[in-house]
Order: sequence, then structure tokens, then C-alpha cells
Amino acid sequence: MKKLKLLIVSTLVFALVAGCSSKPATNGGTEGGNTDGTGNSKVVVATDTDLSTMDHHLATDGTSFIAQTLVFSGLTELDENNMPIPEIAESWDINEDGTVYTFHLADAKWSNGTPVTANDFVYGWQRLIDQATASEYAFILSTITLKNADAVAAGELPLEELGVKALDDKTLEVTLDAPCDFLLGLLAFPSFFPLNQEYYEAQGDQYAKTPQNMIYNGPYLMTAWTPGNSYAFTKNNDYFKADTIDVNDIDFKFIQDTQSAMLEYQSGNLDVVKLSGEMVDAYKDQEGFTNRLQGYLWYLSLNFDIPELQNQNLRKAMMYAVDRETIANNVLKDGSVAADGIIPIELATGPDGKEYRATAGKITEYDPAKAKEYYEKAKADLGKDVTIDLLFEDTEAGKSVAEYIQNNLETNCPGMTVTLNSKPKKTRLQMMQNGEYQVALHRWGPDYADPQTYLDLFLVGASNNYGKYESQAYQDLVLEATQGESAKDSQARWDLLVQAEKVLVGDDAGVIPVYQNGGAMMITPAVEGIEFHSAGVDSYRHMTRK
Amino acid sequence: MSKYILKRILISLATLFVILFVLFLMLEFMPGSPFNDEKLTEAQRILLNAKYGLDQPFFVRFFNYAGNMLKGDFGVSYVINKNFAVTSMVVDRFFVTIRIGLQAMILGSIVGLVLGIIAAIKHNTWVDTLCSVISIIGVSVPSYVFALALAYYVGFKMGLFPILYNPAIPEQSSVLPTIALSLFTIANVARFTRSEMIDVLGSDYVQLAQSKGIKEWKLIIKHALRNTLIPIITVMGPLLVGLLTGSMVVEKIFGIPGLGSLMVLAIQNNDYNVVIACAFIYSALYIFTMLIVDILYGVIDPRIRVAKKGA
Repeated sequence: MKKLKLLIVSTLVFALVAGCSSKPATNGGTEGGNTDGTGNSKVVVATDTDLSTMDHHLATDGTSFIAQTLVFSGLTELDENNMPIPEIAESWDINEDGTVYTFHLADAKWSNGTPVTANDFVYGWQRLIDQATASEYAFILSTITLKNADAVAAGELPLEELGVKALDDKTLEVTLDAPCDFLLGLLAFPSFFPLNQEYYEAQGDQYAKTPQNMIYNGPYLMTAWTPGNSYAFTKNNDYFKADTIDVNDIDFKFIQDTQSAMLEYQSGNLDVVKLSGEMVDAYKDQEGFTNRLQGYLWYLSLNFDIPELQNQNLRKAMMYAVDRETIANNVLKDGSVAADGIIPIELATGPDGKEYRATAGKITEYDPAKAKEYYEKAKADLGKDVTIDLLFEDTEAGKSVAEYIQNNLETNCPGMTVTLNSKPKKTRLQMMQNGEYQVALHRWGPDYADPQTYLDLFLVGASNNYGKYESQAYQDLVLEATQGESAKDSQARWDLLVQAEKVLVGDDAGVIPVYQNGGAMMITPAVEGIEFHSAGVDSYRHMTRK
Repeated sequence: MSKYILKRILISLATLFVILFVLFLMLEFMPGSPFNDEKLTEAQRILLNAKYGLDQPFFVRFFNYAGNMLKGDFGVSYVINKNFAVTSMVVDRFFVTIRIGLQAMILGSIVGLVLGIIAAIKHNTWVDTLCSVISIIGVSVPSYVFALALAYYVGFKMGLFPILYNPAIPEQSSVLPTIALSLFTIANVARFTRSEMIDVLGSDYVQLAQSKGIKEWKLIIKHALRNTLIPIITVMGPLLVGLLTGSMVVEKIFGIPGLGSLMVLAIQNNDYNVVIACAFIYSALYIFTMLIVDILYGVIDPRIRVAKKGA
């Protein structure tokens, strides 16, 4: 009897172990990088967010966009200086008032052998804006003022009325409501990539779920995808410019922990790794350390429903009180830079060929004396010392920056009290959307390489104008630049945008820019040619490996 | 006995249903949406909510979800692997988590038992002290510290095992996470074994056996260990669940595509269906393990079986 019981116990334990030890079949991520001896080169990249989707109309995150840019090609692509260059569109004509673009397509093929046609673009764009797709990036067709985009998005017009037509297999016509200076650059963005109707419809809801449910027209093919672990690409020999591709295989590994990722990098198993802020000091002098700027700009959003914040003197005092250089260089230390205005550096280039910030200059300034002076004025206006609540995200960076700003404001505006309010990101955003905040440390990432992506945020009625900033002068400048007569004259438009930023940040202190995100990385010195685009998708297409 | 088990199973099912309801209710109050709150306009948010049925009233969604769940359908992911069936996402990761959890459990109990027995036999000597120190360290050192130390020294410096989990070679690449996870179990099992063993060794029947001249090792294995095991099996259940649910940090450090790290990601991203599926599976595991422990307890110790019959 005793033995029987023991037998039952051990059988149960054994069954539990055996039943669970069967593992699911997975596509193996291959062992670490470098060359395999046959001259075939490989690069292994660590990613700290997992690949969400390969369906380029559903993607919303950088990781997915990077992967899609490897396997798909759009009409244009961005060169290393953020300028659009021909890709599937080998040339284009633009009509006189800049509203009709005619693209002439190169002889490119999908990986199932069918040619890439103008209709693939028409179908792709129609699917992007279709309500049935519910793409979070559908708005981007309205951003370029594509004809009928708003009405089609609202379901008032059929998809066929969208301002994109295939004149023949190799000619695509795009009609806009107004000129769009940044159109060609934006066409390199995955939302604008083509989709092969016949293949997509045959796949049904399995489309893009595995590497076997996709066809490709870009420089790489996806070969493996284990969600939560890794995904891999190999060179597409049928790519129409296959001879320009150097690296044969690219593997991505999803590693959330930067310290483990760095150990793998040091072991030679990884070639590209992101560093966290606190690791920068340890590695900044090593070969391979790379600092890249990101488009994200962090600023203090001010809620104009709060009576104190309607006082311009108070806002200016706050503007002068924040020491942006110290925040970027000593608090964050991750390659972030002080924000000179609300438009980040390296975002956009003007019609004169000059970088935007080079033209607009430095608008923000750290000046404790002026801060004190304006705060005294504000105190006189308001008749009391000011207490404000600073809302920020419960991340390491958010906390350190908020605490430093609190210190700045309380020191440079003697008498001012700042209370800190830390919330998770989703909560912070909801509070801002509901107007339940006073001052919030908030960020915006550009949707396209033009100042308008930031300046539109502060227009009356804009859905992201959480603080309800309202200025007639600003409104007039931006609307004239984007919708008025000046929209047709690139230089005039540019000048107006520069002026508008000066009104918003300089004259009104309607928003207080703080810093632009940087990203410190380690890249194996043998790997070159990764192109970082602050307002677009980072490109690993033109990498080389020595 | 079987009536007792049946009753326990029914109670377990009812508990799971309540858990599912509470989970649903908690997600209802979670701020934000699964979608890109930073950029979306109100019109798009309405469109997305309608597409995924999130615009339906609470009770409609709850009963739809519960109904689909009975068919094995946990809905789709909104963020992490967009539009993927949550069931397949969770099943893949479940086996990885279970594998590493069980490996850690087995390693932890064996090492813990041996340490505990040695400490008990060498009661009040330096060996005992050493075992106690190991136990205290095991209980008090957070698993991520130990995991990072392992990754650094064993994985990186010595290069003995891969640091990152690789589904192609699960045996080698799960060694480090298994050891990292087992530390807590080793410490706990060793402590319990030691104190139980000391009690048992002092009991009358062991002293009788001793006076009969039975060899020491035979005495330990045959007479003392069996009685020591009873209380230990009770702590093993919660320990196993602790291993499965507490592996999030270890999963993160070793890059393991497991359930724990998936749940954390899902919560951060408001990926509702994934949160519910993970939390539900964890709850089910917990309840299932407790059930098994209760049954095993009855099998091993006749006194309990008799008492329950009477009840």
C-alpha cells in the first residue's frame, strides 16, 4: 500500500514534468553575428521593443517600421541627409502649382515574381484610409492634403474617389488639395508602401502573420520570426537594386535588459545595442560608441485654463528659469540636447538648403536674473506667490528631469512652489486630454520632416492642443503658411513658420521647450552605414560590414 | 475522497469565473486605451474601439469574452503582436515559462533537500551554519541581482552557457535562468527540511529505530525523510507558483519569451486581452497547483484523509 502511494505521487510528478517539457516548434535565431567564413556577412541587432506587426498599414512603432523598411520599398527613400531619393519611383513630374505629382515606376518585382505596379500603390493607400482597416496612421493621407482624403476617411466618399490613380501599370498620379513641400520625403514612410491586392486578398486575415504569409519588394526577405524572441532577414536577390546591398543577413533579437544586451555585445554576439542613460559614462570613450538624435522633443505643456498660467510674466519667468543645458548634459547624459525652440534639430531642411534651427536660431534662454525679474512682475500682477503642480511620467528620465525643473523653478523664481505629480504614461496622457493638469512634461515625435508637425499642435481646436493655447497672431501665421497664398511659395511659407515659432515660444512663452531626446548606442566598428532619421524610419538597408 | 475532489474542482471553477470578472472590471478602470493615445484623434479612437468591439457595454463584452474563452479563444492582441490570436501567443510562452519553472523547481528541491538534510544531521556544527548562511542569502538576495551576477560571471566571463535564451537550443540556454530562479527554492526548501528533520530526528520512533541499530543513511532516507516531506510538499505548491509568476525579472534579463514578461508588457501597453489571458492562466495555475497539493497531501498522510472523510 505504501509503495502504491509513493508510486502515485511519483507518477503524478513525472506526468507533470513530462507533459510540460514538450516545447513548441520555433524558428531558431542563429548564433551571433559577424561573418560565416564564406564571405556572407551578417549583422545582429538588439531591439528593446518586440516586433509588433509586419502589416505596414497597422504598424505604429519604430521597431515595426524599421523591419518593414527592410523588406518593402516605397516610391522614394531617404538618403543619409534626410533628403528623398528615387526608389520604386525612378522619376516624377510635378505640375506648376505643386498639387499633381506623376510618378514613373521602375521595373521592380514582388518576391512571387509579379511586377510592382501603380495599382499596388493605389490599393495600398486605399486600404490605409479604409475605415475597415482602422489604421492608426490613416491621418497621414490628410497630412499631405491628398485629394478627398478627409471625406473618404469619414466614409462620405468611396475609396475610389481618393486622389491617387494608376494611369497605367507604371504611372501613378497623386493629386493634392494644396502644395506639400515634404511629400517626397514622407513617401519613404511605410504607411505609403504598396500592397499587392491579389496576394493580400488570397491571404485573408493570415496576411503578414508569419514570413510565409508575406511577399516582398524590398532589399531583404523575412526568414524567421519568433514573437517575443527574434526575427531575421536575408538578402532578396530579386530586389531590383540587389547589387547595392552589402550585408547578407540581418538578425534582430528582442532583449529588454540593456545590461544583458551589453554583455552579449562585449562577447561579440551582437553588433548594435542601445545604451541606457546610466551606462553612457562607462562606454562613451570606447570605439563604437554612437550618439544619435531622435525627433522626440520634450516640453512643458501649460494649461491655459489655470488663471496663473494665463499670466505672461509668469510663463516667461518659467521659460528663463529652466537650465536646459544642464538637464541634457548632466541629468540625462544620454546624448539628449537642450531644446532651442519647439522644433527639434535635424528635423527639416528649408527651401534654401539650410537646416531649420540654423535659420530660426536659439529662442529659449537660461537666465536666472531675468527669471527672477519676470517672477517679481508676475507676483505683482497676481498679488501672491505661485504654486504649480508638475505632471510627469513615472520613468527614471521623467523623474530626474522633473525634479531638476522643480529645483530650477523654486531657486530661480524665489517664492514659487512646485509640487511633483508622477503618473504612468497612459494616465498622464488621459489627464492631459481631460485638461486635468497645470504644467506637464510632455513629448511629441514628428510625423514628417517639417516644422508643421509641431506647429500644428498649438492651433485652436487641434486635438493635441491640450493646454488650449490661443493666439491670433500665431494662428494667422501658421494658417497663412499652410493653407493661404504663401503655401504655394516654399520660401515664404518657411519664413512664416520661423516667425510663428518665435511668437509661440519667444513672445508668448506659450510652451516651454526643454530637451530633444538623444539615443546612445554601441555599434561594432566593422559595421557602417546605419542611417538614423530623426523624423523618419532608421534605415539598415545600406549597412556595410568590413 | 472523490466527492471531496469533485467539490474542490467545482469551487475552483467558480473562483476562476470570479477572477475573470474582477480582471475585466479592473481593466475597465485602467486609464488610457491600447492604441496610440499620444497621436490619435477622437474620431480614430471611436473607429478603433468599434473595430475591436470595445465600444460595447461592459457586460456584453464580458460575456462574449467568457463565451469565446470556453472555445479556447482569448481574442486578439491590440499592441504587442497586433491582431495575433492571444491563444497562440500565450501557449508558446506558457511552455517556455513552465519549462524553466519546473527545471528550477526540481533543481531547487533536490539541492534544498540535500542541504537541509546535511544541516540537520550536522546540527550545530559549522556545516549547519554554512547551510543556514546559504539559505539566508538565497531568501534575501533579489533574483535579478543573482541573475545579473550569473549572466556576468558564468555567461560572460567564463563563457560556460549562453546568456540569452535561444529557442533553438533550449537545454543549454535555459541553464542560467534555471539556476537564477532556483536560488529562492533552494533556500526555502533547505530551511524547511532542516527544521522538520531536526524535529523528526528527535522523535520517539526515530530514536527507537536508532536503538535497533539501523544504519544512519537508511534511517534518514527510510524513516526520517518521509515524515519530513509532508510539510515540505505543502510549501512546494506555492513555491512552484511563485517560480512561474515570479520569473518576470529573470525572463527580462535572459531574454526569455515567457509568460511573465509578456504580462508586464501587456499591462504597460493596455493590451487588454493579453493581460486577461496571462492573469487568468496564472490564476488557473495557482488554483490547480493548490488542488494537486491538497490531493497529494491526502495521499501521503492518511490522517488527513481520515479527517476529511469525517468532515
